[in-house]
Amino acid sequence: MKNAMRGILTMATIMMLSIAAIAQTTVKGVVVDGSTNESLPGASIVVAGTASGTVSGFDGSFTFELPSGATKVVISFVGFLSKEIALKGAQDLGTIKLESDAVGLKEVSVMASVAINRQTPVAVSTISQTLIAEKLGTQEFPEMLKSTPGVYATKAGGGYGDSRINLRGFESENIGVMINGVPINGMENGKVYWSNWAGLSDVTRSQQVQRGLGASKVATPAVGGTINILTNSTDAKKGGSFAYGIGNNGMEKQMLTLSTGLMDNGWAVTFSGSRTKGDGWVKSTDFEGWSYFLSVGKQINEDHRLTFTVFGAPQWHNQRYTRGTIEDYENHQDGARRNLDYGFKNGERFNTAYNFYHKPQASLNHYWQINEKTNLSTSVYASISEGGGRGTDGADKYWLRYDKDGKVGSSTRVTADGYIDYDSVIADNAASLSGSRAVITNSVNSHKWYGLLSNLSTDLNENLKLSGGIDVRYYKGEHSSKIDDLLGGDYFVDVDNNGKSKNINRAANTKLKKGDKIYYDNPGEIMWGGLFSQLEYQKDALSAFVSASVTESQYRRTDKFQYLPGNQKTAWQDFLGYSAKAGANYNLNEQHNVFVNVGYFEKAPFFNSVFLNYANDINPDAENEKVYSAEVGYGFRSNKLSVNVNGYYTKWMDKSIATTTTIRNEDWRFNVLGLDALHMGVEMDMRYQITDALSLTGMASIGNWEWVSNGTANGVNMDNKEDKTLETMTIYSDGLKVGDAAQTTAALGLDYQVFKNLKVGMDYNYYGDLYAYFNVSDRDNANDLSQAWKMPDYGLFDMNVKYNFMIGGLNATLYGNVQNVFDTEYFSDATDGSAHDWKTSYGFYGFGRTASMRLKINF
Amino acid sequence: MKKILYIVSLFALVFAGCDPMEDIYKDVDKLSNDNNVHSLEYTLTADDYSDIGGDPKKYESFSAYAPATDYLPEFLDGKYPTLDVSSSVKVTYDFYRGSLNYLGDYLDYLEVLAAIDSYTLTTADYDSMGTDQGQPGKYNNFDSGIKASDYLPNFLLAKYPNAIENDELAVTYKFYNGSANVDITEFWVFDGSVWTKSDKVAPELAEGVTLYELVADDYDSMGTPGKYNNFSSSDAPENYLSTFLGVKFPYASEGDKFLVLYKYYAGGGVTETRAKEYTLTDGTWMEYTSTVAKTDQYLKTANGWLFDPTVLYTMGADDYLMIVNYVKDNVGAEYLDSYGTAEAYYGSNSYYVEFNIGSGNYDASFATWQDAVTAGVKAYLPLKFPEAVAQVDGVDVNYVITFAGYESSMVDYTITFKCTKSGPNPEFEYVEGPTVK
Repeated sequence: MKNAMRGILTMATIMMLSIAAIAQTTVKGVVVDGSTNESLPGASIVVAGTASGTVSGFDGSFTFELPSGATKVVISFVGFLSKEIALKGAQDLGTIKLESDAVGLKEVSVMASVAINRQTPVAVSTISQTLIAEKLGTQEFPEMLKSTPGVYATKAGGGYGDSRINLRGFESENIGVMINGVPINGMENGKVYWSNWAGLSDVTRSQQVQRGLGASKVATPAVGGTINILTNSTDAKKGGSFAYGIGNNGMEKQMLTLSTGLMDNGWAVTFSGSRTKGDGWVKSTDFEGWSYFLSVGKQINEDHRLTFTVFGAPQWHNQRYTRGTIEDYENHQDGARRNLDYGFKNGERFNTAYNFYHKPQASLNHYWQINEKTNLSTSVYASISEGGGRGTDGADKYWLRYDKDGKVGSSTRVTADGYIDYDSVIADNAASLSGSRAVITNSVNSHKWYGLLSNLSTDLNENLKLSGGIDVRYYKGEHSSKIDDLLGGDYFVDVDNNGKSKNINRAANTKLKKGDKIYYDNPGEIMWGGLFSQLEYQKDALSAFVSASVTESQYRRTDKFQYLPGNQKTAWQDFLGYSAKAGANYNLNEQHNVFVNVGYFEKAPFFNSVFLNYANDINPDAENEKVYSAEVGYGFRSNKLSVNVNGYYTKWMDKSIATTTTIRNEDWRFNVLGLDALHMGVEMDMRYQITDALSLTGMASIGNWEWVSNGTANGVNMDNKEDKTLETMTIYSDGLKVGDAAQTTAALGLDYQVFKNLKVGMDYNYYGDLYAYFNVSDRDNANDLSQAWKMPDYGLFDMNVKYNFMIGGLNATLYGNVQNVFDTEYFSDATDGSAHDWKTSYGFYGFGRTASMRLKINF
Repeated sequence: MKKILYIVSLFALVFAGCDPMEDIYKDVDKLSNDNNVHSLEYTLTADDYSDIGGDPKKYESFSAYAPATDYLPEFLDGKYPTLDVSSSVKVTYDFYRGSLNYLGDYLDYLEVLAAIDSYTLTTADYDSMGTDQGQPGKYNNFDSGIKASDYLPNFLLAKYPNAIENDELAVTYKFYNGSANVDITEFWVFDGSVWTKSDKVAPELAEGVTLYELVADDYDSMGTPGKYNNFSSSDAPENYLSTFLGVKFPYASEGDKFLVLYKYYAGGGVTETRAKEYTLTDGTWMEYTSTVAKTDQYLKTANGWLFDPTVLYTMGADDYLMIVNYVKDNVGAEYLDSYGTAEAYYGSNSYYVEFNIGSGNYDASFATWQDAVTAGVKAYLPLKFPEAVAQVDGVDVNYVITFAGYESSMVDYTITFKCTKSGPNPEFEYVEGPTVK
């Protein structure tokens, strides 16, 4: 009955009893990860058959007095196989290497470029599985990173999986996210939709954030950083667990994990499944999500290993999309929980904002130890997703929409209680002689994504390692809109204001029914080929790397609505991007290390910047974005204290922004050039073991993120290509603070082992210098140079408790979490208003107090 | 353990008391709770007139003799006791403006006319007055040289040998005015020995009113009234006349007035001549009514409710189009877009119902969009309100115009002008704005 919790239990036991241990003989050593040589803080060292022992410090080291008669010690740590060492009295055990308890983890770590402390020269924070179990509670996956420097994570609208994360002020399209080394940023827009990955936290083994350019060899859009997620793979040991949790607003969760362990025939299978449902803290944001995870490993022989992993999380959730002003929230009966995106249709609650998605991702990893010096890791993966979100369409679609700031628009149909008035829409649709005036649609956003990632690594000599590989992808995304509900009408006619059919291949008066495509249907295809290489040098205290990558991306757009057959596909549009980076880490001694890294890359503009105006119009000025970044860092490790400090400078040049404006009733497209942003700052994080039972964690991050230039653009008349009038636009952005993420953050945490089985923790997080979001291309008024609304600073308290006990001979753990203990009211997300103040800005309140409880039984 | 308690307490003390939204909430409260200011609209009901009492109760309306300003302040005080200063109510009420005086006179005249015999001269009659050059029978008419007054006394004596004193006759004859023959009707009276022209004349119609009398074809064109060539209680004229005028005078312009004369079967074998006045209003021929709906704004002040002559108006698509057309006619057609619905001088756009206030959408000669919109509204006001008045009851009249400004999003603004000279050709002076509504 071995299990992951055992280490913790043992550790706790030791903490209580070590004080009483009788001093006899001193034993010391350093515990490290066998695959990376990274020190392992918190590993337990116990005399076999007794409860006496100690825990390794932040530098992995330990020293303790052996009781008489001790013949061997057991060294164990969560996620690693335990190791027994026979003793011959007082001695220095030297470096003790623990091997991972997961099959194939080492290879995945390499492919994912997981950073190693005191070796990889990047600023990094790692969240362990244990920490996720203790602290997650009702939080969304990205929020686990909130106590690490440079991070601003919120629940945004508050729907299940609708959370977002910004890193060093950059939004998700500029944060590389990789699961087991496979990049998952959307191919077309770089965004990461966490709802696609709901349930991921249940099977995450470690979550590492590398700030800045990061250690990844593969080309990623990492301007702000890289989030490197390693999932469970197949467990080396047999067993399983069952968990049941409840939480605020009807939240309920079940989860089951089963592992065969590594069997004699070389096979190992691990399965996890979970189901989560709830009503949501925000009104009408109920949800249901499932997740499944299957990993099958096969050790073919000494040199070959195969792992097949499939992960998926089908879910549906009602959303909150429309933002509001503070005054309107305050004057509403639902207050901060107000949701404007629903009403009652035929007596049933019905949201206009709703999302359903299922994105299974399967990968087959092959690891081949070619010879002593050379190995080849290959991952073939596929992701076939289906789903989309609800929308509204029709000549009078504004019946179903509020203004963007949550005000009732001139056409909005609302009941006296402020709900969307479906009944009146249904009545008018039924009475209309031209079919439904407003309908509910599903915006389909499905895709197929196939990729191959392969990395060959060889030791040139004792100190030099060369690796290189390929990254090949094909992607096809479907974008269309289908009628979901005619809302009382018998049919729908898909025409524009002038009565012309939106699908030129269909008669304007075609009577369309549920399931028919309307408005648009334009698949996009992307072919991607990347080459990467890296040279690593390691000798004694110095480690250094140089890496380069080159990426060719090709985009093609097909438009089945606006073009005649034969003329629907664009030519492939080519973009060449490349990156180069280098860095070095030097360990001054066993306690101090310094590092530096520097990099430059150019990345292809996103799909939507290449094809303009929602048509096959190719942007003649689509430019590569250029990013230059440099960083220095310092680290300190001692037995009781670990501190990291680093400073960064990231300059982002020619940020690609295209905007459409109406001039003389015609659409003009402006491709803004010359927009540069500079993000710089200082980050610090620390851990201090005050006593054996009490530890303190701290973080501070001070950023200065600003636009540092004005942008200019010449317009193109999209409605009349013959028009040669010179229209220019200037974006007055110089000196504006970057919005949407707190530039100053800090965190303080205390963890206390009250007694053997009980651990409590509390965390405080502070967010300051938070400016409201604004679309920089809207800042084209020379007389308006004001900063965006500076939102109120806020701080939140979380508490967690963990209790271990035996139930029917099985190890059980009870977790309890309270987020926002003091029910602080705060605005977490805002869009800047016309007067740059709280009156005109609109956004979302963050959640009030939430709580959850979970029982996990291991077997 | 104590150490931990201290640390925890410190945590709690430092952070728990913080309420990030505190300052904003105070401001929110100031905005909403302290004052109960609203802009309302209200239409008086029959019960309201009854509550008001006096003449308004009797007639269920106000009039020049019982003006609304005398009654409404007190009424609003009772109706909205809790509204705070600077609230406003737009009150819609019935106003008796009286019937048309000239219409009564004209109908009286018609009645008189109906009682008098009439005679229209025939060719034989002219011939009987002589057919030589210089005599009526030559061209069968009179003219400035061959005067009717010279011939008619003798002609009538011969024609009506049995006439008695005070007999009256309407005589219609042809008169050559130098270019054409016109019919002239005159009234002649017999004093027992001679016929003389009386001084009776048709009463004058109100200024700008055109008289039209329905003829048989007109009744026929209306269907059932064509059966007897009249209206009746079952074929009420108000059901037909508005439509009829629209068909008959398709090119009439806004504000044209017609006095329509028609026959009405009153029952008991009596058919009367009656009349209604119609005015072309917003493309429809509207009958004159003695009682009309009026809307006035009242403002709550420290001294109670006061009549506020301020004109509040929100611009619609037609209004933006007026500016577009103004630019076309007075500034330059090159400022218009290809659809003719938007102009880039002031930035008015009737398609999107807005001023496009993004730079580049108004002329560069304006320093700011505010200047452009101010100039645009100033040009528009005299077109929109040609009959604007500068003062009502000694109070200056302000025009508060609400418009939509589009830059990156649609925002409603208000701009205020003061009428400094009453219409026609009124003049307006900029007061303040634009400010976000």
